[in-house]
Amino acid sequence: MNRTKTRSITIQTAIIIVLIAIFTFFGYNYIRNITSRNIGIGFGFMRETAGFSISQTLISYTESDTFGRTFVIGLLNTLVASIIGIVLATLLGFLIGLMRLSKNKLIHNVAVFYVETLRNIPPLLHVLFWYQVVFLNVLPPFKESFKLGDWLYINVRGITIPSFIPQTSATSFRILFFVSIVAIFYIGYVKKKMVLRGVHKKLWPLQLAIILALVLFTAIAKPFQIVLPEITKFKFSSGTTIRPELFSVVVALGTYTSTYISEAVRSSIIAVPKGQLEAAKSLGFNRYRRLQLIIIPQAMRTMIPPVTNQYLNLIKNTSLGMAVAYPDLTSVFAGTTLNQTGRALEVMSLVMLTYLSISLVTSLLMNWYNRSIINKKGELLEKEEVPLE
Amino acid sequence: MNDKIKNLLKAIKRDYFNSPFNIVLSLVILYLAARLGIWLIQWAFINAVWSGENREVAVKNGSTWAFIRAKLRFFIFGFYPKEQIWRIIITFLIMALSFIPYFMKKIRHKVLVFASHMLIWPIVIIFFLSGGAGLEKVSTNDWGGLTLTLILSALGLLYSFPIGIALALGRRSPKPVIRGLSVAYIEFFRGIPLITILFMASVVVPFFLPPQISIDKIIRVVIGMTCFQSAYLAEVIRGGLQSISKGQYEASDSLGFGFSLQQYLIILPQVLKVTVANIGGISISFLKDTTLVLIIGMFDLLGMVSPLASDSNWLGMEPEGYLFAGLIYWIICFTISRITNRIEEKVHTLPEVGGTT
Repeated sequence: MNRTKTRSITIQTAIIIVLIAIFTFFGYNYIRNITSRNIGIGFGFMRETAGFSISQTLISYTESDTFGRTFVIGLLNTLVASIIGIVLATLLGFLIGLMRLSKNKLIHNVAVFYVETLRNIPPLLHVLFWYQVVFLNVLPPFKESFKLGDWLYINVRGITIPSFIPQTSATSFRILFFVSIVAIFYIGYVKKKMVLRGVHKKLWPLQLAIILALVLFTAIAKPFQIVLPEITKFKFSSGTTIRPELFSVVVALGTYTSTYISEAVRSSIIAVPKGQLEAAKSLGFNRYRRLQLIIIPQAMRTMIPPVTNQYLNLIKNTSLGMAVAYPDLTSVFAGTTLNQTGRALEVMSLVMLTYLSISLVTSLLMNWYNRSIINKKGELLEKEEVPLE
Repeated sequence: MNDKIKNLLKAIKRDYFNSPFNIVLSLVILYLAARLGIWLIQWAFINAVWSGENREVAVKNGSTWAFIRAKLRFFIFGFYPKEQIWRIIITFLIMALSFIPYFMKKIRHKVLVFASHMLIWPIVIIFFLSGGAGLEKVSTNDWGGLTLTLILSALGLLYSFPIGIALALGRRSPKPVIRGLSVAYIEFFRGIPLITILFMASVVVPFFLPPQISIDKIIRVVIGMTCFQSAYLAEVIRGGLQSISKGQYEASDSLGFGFSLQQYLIILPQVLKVTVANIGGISISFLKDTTLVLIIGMFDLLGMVSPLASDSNWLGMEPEGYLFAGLIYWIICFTISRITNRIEEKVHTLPEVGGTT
């Protein structure tokens, strides 16, 4: 027993010593190389002027801003693409997953075809295809924009929609909007609690009233002025343009990831015990209520871990936007900033650390959500108010 | 015959037209599929141009497959000199032949075959492809196309296997240092995009080496991809390890097996058996991931499209190029997934020695 213990300690110490030796070797070389090339060490460059332009920025940015700000811009662009991509992938994934379970063979086959084609093609090819082929080759040039009334213009340069310019009442609208969403979710939560205790009360009129109030407020106070896109000779003088880079990344990753999510949805729905479906049928629920109330809530539990993985993959894959010059974190910071400053190690470690933190936060959020839905069952059993029949 | 038709009609009615809602839906989908299919067939086959010297032959409503025909060599072999291509073919022939020992029943320890691949493949690739020792030298910058894609994915998968297994075992090790390091490694590489690792390999790693040593970019990229892939493989194998019942460990303990023998003879064979499907899936994603090397300026199959379509004779041929590359990737990935399905079926129908628990 003692011998194995000594052996174990020896092995582990040896590993640590070897690792330290390797890192010292690399560190020594790094410092020697850096000093011989006069590059400098440290994050001081973050305060220097960047001097390059970025095609899409969420917050204001000019070429005289610092490298620190380019980092923030890149990070925000990564987050924007990730969030839109995740929403799209989830919606499509659910739809396709349910389609694959349809009794109508045609719908089933369409879903199978979708999954099998898109999944076996590299995501980078998806991104390049949307950008190079759809935007640059298929869509019409600026002068011959495809248009939908005066509202929507599609051409090589992107998709232009009306812009919403906030008026004086915009702030109160935003607050009201946020409060309403919280209220609607809270009512849903209360309703669930009630059901768990065997109380059934109609609460949806309350939710409807909140929505109506919001609509009414919007109609009266007009918090946003809608400005239709207006075409001049060479560009749009008003309206908001969704750039083709963002669109390509989001649509490519959304469709690609949706194939994996649909598989997760399908397999976890199949994994719900058949007795549950039969029980729901015998209670007289119709198809949609069965799915909504019995099947999907249970499937959720098995669905969340694989779906979380897909979300994380999608977030990391937004870095593919670099291939079409979408200014995300990798492109702006690991690309342009690294080239300009030469601070390879500092820039790369910052980028990696940022991705690690985004991944960590995402999995924490999803774990939290996972726990919140898994606990439902335990809660039900613990509550004394529930009649034990 | 009549019965058959009747049954078919019944099946069609049951599968496609079982309710009014489904009838409408089926008709709409049929219509859309037909429209799309007809357009696609017209574009890809009927109006297509199959031969020609430059883009003058292109027509408006058809594809120009002449471009693919003219550039096929580049898609497959990259910018490798034409008269040296036989070397690539020999390399792949040797790599393919080296799989034969796996199918020979006489060889008991297939691990040795695998280990010999790890040794022989890089030697063959370096000797034949880059030249020297009597063969004309070819810079690794000229490696490209499907060749590069296959080399990168084969080497990456080959080396990530042993590392992945080691990491998976390390993650379950009772020794805190080994476990901690394995967890840190796996979580680190799974948390960052592959692109950042490729950047590290191409931009940062040279800083870490003494000035007199320079490692070729392709080797750096293979090492970076191996690091990345082994973390994912480790998680797949860990899943397999978790599914092995405790009884298997206890039984082999009671037989007096040491750790390595226990893993080698009892545990890992079972792990490989249950993880076949996942390993197939992960090989597919590794293959798809090799496309990212185009971002650091290497011309793999996908990366070739852009330089080939900027040839002044073939400007604007990106759609055909991307479709062709997509088709090749699709065929390879689909084949891998079919093969792993077959292996999985075979493995699951094998008789279990000693009965099931």
